[in-house]
Amino acid sequence: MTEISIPRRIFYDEPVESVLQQLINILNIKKMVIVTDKVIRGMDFFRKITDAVSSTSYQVFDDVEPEPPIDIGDKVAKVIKQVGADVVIAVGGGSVIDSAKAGVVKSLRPDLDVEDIAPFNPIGMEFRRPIIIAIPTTSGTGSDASYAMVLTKDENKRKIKIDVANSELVPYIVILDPKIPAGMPKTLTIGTALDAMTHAIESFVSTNSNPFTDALSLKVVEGVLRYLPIVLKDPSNLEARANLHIAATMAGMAFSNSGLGLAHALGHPLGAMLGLHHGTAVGLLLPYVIDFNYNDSRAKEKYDYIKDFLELTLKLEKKEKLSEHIRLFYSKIDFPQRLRGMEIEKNKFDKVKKFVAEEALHDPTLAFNPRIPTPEELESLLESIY
Amino acid sequence: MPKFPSKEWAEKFCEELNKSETYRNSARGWIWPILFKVKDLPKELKSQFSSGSPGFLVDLNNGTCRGVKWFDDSSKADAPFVLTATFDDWLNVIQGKINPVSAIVRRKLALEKGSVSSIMRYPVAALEMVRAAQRVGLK
Ligand SMILES: [Fe+2]
Repeated sequence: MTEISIPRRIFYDEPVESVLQQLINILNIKKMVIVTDKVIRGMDFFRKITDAVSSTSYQVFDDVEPEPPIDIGDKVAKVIKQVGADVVIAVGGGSVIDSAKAGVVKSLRPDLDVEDIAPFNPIGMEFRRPIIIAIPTTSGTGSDASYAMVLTKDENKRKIKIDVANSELVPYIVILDPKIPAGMPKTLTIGTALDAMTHAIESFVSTNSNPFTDALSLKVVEGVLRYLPIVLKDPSNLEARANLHIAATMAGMAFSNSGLGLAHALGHPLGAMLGLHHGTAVGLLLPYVIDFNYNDSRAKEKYDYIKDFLELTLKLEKKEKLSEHIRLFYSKIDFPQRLRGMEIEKNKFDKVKKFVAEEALHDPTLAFNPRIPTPEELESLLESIY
Repeated sequence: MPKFPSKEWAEKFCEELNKSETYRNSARGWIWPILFKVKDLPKELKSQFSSGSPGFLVDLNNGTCRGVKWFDDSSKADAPFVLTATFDDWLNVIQGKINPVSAIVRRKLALEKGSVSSIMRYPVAALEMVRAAQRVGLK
């Protein structure tokens, strides 16, 4: 069986409060839990959301922290049960959305150990309430559209990532309101957009890609190259923001069904060791990874496809390689093309290089990269990014 | 060249893994035996295995292969990781027509037991296992 899983309904062209009010009527929602974190709870748009659902009986769970621990599911489930919720609304980024997913799993299947969730074993969430409504607050992670869930666990004083996947974990509804990410500062706007672009390009060349994900990916790359410079010049341009917000979710639909690649495999440990924003790390690595994978003939063909598509749709001057367009784009938006441009000291980088290479070879996102590197190749790739 | 599947093929596969430095380095930390099951055999093999599903267990531990066990009837065997596929799908994987990890997430290779996320952490080792199988060859 080969399948793709995506959200059932995606709303994208209306303020979140009006979509919620309509959904409460259409779906006859009486009781809900809103999952979020303390920062988001204090924001203006959050009040609009609670105002919009005030006709229902709801409770807010705002105890989500970054890299949520595995027992977050039990805590959220407890509130779901107290309220008797039909709906769980997740307002936030990846950590919030994944906490909501874990909560719904535990509320319906208290017997199931979250770690034991397997892609092909039914959880028993399908056709049952509570359903999940995801309202992403940044335009990057794509977890609103994905069937993966990442939690953490402490083992021998080390934080271990638990990532599981199952098609029943895809949020039932996603609401994309561009006014929500419009408050992001410039660096986060760039970081999240480059994350989405990297998702799309890695998804497109993944050895596990398929026609559905390919179509989504192309439109994402075009969208980021077209709209990010507009947003940076005029942060209040809501139409351009909306397009970036949509692109991030489309990228999530693509990569969660096709897998990622080497920029993410290296970007995860590199970002963690040097304290870089995830999108900054993978964006920085992307052109180097494209050049590395170019030796693989199938990957070259697919990169060239993206290149031709961009030259056609964005009327770009013809170039030899896709990485040249990416580098030109980075200079246009003032994004550093090397680590030394990011105030990272050379000796700090040298200390972590070997570790980053080793970790990358065991990162699950490497599995579908077109070319599997040796440890030496990874170290020399890393050398070149400084 | 031994034919696939057979006890001799499995033994040669184990030898090839032990010869590979790439496998030794990339599979450090993997400590679970894997049982490989083959179903939907072609006619000429069907008469040989009345069970219809022979298989072999490869005892993998920290980058080495500690030995193999052959089963004329794989339903009588068990291991922490169990992979089942049709004879044709095994051939496609061994010939490199499909990436082994893709084959698992697309359910061409059915992971009857064991976690996909553990396998995803050993992409280099998974590909090297395919290369080792290619060095054994197919008849
Ligand atoms: Fe990412």
